[in-house]
Amino acid sequence: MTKVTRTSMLVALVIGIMLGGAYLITARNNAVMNSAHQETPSGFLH
Amino acid sequence: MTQNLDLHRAARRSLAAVVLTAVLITINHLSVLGPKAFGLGAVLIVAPALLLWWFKRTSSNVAFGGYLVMNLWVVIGFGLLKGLWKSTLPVFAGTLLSALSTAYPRPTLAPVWVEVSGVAMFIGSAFVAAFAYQLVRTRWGTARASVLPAPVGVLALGVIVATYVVTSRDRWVAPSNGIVKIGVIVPTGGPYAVLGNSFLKAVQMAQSDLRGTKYQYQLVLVDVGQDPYQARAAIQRAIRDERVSAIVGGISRFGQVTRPLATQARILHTCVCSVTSIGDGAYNFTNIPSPEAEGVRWVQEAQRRGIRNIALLTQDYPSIHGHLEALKVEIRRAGLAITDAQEFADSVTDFRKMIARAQASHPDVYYVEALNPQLDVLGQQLADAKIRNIASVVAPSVSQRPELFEATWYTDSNLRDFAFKTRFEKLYPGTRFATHMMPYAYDDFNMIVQAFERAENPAVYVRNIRTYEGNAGTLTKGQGSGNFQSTPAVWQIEHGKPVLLSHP
Repeated sequence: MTKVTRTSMLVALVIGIMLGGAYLITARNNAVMNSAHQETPSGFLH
Repeated sequence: MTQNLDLHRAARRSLAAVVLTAVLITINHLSVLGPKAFGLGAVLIVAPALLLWWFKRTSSNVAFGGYLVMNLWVVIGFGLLKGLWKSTLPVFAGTLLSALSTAYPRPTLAPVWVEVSGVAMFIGSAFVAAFAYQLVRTRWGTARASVLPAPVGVLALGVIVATYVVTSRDRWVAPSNGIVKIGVIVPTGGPYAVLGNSFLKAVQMAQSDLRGTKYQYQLVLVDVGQDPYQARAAIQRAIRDERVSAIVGGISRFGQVTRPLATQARILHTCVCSVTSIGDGAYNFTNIPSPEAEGVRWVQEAQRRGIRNIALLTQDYPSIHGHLEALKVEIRRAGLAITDAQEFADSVTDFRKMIARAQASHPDVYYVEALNPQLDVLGQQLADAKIRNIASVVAPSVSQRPELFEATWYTDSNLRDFAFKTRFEKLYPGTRFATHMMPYAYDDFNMIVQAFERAENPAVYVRNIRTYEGNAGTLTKGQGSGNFQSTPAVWQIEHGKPVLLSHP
């Protein structure tokens, strides 16, 4: 394995981790912050 | 000749990076610009391609300079300012910081595809910068352009991350001139008149109850009208011009408008709102019993009274659907039976057939929930049919003729001390005490005051609250949650007035 190949693989790995991590973190964050299944007011005109 | 080949190869790589990043920029901007994002993408692809083609044909320095300017726009404008600052740092650093300390808000993130494309935009712009640097080196020779090694980029990234860590922390700021301005955002006209005015008076009562505080607390009443969409401008003015330090609000439709504005201004917004997604746990918090809590308490009381069979007579309305869904879950869980279920539109005025059908199912109790005027019309017709075994959630408390619901029991917000209601009615004789809203408005105002008196950032203070002993009893909130939970109480109409039967 040449140095270029090794570096390319490392860069691809870092990119994959960043994009995958961003996907997981955002999905989890949005699930928590918008956890309400009910989006219409449930009290009297509340 | 060799240098020319190298230059063309470097130019091809650079352009490929620009095109790929432009595609990512287009995807990322679709949520904001819509179809116009394709126009932006076209400019970002066509302009550099033309400039490079011009440079290839003429070796013009203007063309080369123009191409580098386009690269700079992509790297700084989209890669750093948007991709790094607005997506990558909030997603990674913001999430980590908020997990480590409540001084940092949990970041408000866009949909997954927007954030992931934002991160990809930053990565793409790093390639654009690297290949543009390589192109410059090839064009002018390594000697002139080798002063920007990777460590400079790493150092710059470190400075940006450190700046993010410092600036995203919520800090305590002492109020100028010792005056704390608190925005009160609630509609007080039209269908919101009863609840809105009651809310407003509750906050005013909380303000007048303050004794010996370090700071002076001033209410800024925001005239939001009755249309949530028009309310936006008024709320923005209160934040920008009046410089309110925190907001107490009520009614979900207005809370939904306030939420992003409070987040943007990084000020605390407490809301007596039943739409729980308004409470993000960062700057926005809701405070009211959930439909689920109402359902649990209602069924407990029904069981205590030996009720087994229930007939439902309810209006077709979102608020009521919320209660009904939660109630049905609890009814099933407790093994009770629904003998009849009828829903009516807001145009119905003759309920006699519906009442007869429900009667034929021999229920132990009639669960009735509607808004006025249907509520009181239905109440009258139930009274005419000599039906007195009625129960509900909240509804009788908003009846204009509570005497129609004599002996009706229902769940509604708890009151730690009934004298609170008596005191309110004495202070504001013309204003109706809306039990479902009042104590929470009072408590929300006091939470803000407590934060300032303890010299803590209000948003951070509320993030840290787990239990709060307030006028509505004990409020609880899970770690990271934006929703205060409370247990409703059981009320009954006696002599035409709501009476608190039992605390939770």
